Amino acid sequence: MPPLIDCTAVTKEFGRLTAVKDVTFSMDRGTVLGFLGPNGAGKSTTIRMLLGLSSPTAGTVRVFGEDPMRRPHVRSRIGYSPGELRLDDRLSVASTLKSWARLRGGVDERFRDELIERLGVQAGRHVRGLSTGNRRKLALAGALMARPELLILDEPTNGLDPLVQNEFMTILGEMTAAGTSVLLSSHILSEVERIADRVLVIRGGVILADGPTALLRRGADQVFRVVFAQTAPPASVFEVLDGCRSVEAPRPNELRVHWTGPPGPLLARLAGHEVESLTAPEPDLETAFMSFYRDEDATHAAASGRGAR
Amino acid sequence: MSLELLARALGAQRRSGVIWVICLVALAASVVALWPSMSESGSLDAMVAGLSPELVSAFGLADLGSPVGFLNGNLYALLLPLAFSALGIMHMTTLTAGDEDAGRLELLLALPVSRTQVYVTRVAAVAIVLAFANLAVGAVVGLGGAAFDMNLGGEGVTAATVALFLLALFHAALAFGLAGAGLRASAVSGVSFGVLMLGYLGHAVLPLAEGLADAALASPWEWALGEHPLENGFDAPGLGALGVGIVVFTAVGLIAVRRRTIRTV
Repeated sequence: MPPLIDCTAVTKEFGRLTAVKDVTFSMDRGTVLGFLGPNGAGKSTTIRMLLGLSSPTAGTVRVFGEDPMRRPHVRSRIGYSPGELRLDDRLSVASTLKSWARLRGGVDERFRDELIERLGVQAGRHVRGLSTGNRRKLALAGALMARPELLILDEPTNGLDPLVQNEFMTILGEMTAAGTSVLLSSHILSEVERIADRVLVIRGGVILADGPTALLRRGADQVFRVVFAQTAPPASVFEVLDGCRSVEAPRPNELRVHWTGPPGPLLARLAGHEVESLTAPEPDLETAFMSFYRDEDATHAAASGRGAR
Repeated sequence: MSLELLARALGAQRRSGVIWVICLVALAASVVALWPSMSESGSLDAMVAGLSPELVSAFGLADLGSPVGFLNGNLYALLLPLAFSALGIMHMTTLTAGDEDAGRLELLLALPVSRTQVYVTRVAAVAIVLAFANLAVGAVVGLGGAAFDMNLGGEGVTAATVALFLLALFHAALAFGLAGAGLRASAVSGVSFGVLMLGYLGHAVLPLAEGLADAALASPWEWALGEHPLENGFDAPGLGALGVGIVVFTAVGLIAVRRRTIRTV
């Protein structure tokens, strides 16, 4: 059985601008893949190629083993909510959902009604008068209502209030538990961390990292807080070590060592000193994400990021 | 063809289409209703007597004192072809390049429908609106003509209705081809209206210029109206040329849109 998504050496150029460069990744069934990157990183361009709205300049895109540009029926297995919502203002909310259901087919009306209720979709109104959040709810209900095998969600909680965000994430959790696969593009890292079991980081159209969420988190900078029994040794003792990014000395007997990678060399060096306490909080995905963007040199970032695979 | 897509495309034109039809029917009805009083006064031929033959020809004012000449001068030579073609261009541009510019195609094309389905239904929807508008105006002229003893003849009115429909659809199809190729709405309507106006000038002015009369044959207006359908009935070669243009522009639009990237906002 082919992977759900299979992108091989995909490049997309718009004139002189290269939006996506040599992107290769795949996604298996049952996966929740977090797709992270700043604005203009190439996330939406990649997503649009997965939906057949755009064709790659080079490389191949396959969804359910087929070219989505040539095989539109493959989209009957996909639910999509775009980041930039442009709904048809000429329709009412109810007729929008009905129209999508007719064009898509296979919509479970009871589940659609449940989504309308749980997300608080204002089914009695006209699209023209909806707020950003209410438009988002409508788009999400439309994407989810057919219980598709694959959900492609681009910034799905943009504009939603916290209660609805939470309800949406609960619904998403229920659907993934039932086997739905999700490609989740988001700026909200806690959201991705909550649900994704794999993360893809993209910047400047280049994949920086691709790996399990936990592994990626482990690859992030850690801050070791070391309290010495007596005066702390000079920072230079640690700065010369591979993996040490910087050293702070907030107090005479305390150092904060910013560290990347396995901490073995640091621990070995500390063994020669009388350490009173050593603490290192688990880095979250946000720290990992920021560490990928710290270096302005994308080439260096790419090289170090791929190590997280 | 998807009935849902067709219904959506027709629904998108409903309000504007109804207003256009009401205005055009009112225009045709008022012109027809003027005929008895104008013909009785005998002033129509006198009105154009002082005009130069070139001007009379350019605005289709020849034989203004006859029912056919009166309708040609007031409706069929300029006003109706211009209005129907403008209706076709505007609606086609809105449904294709306009929807793409506004980002409305993204969610639709992310559903399991092909671009061909979406765009073919939009051509069909514009054709339906144009057909309805032409039939309504044709019916008003035909019935009004009978009521006011204009002796128009059914074939003449039908032939003129078909000619105007195909001329409007020709320009709408041109807009479709341009939108399919990826032009933005402003460029699509600009080029299409430009062709419409140049076509009129070619049809109305070139025959008056020595040595350039044959060039008028390149004008779609000439294909539709050159043989005076209201008077002489159907002109198969002219209608055929319009039909070929419609098919070619539509095919170009469909082929181009299948291969390109859909714009985002």
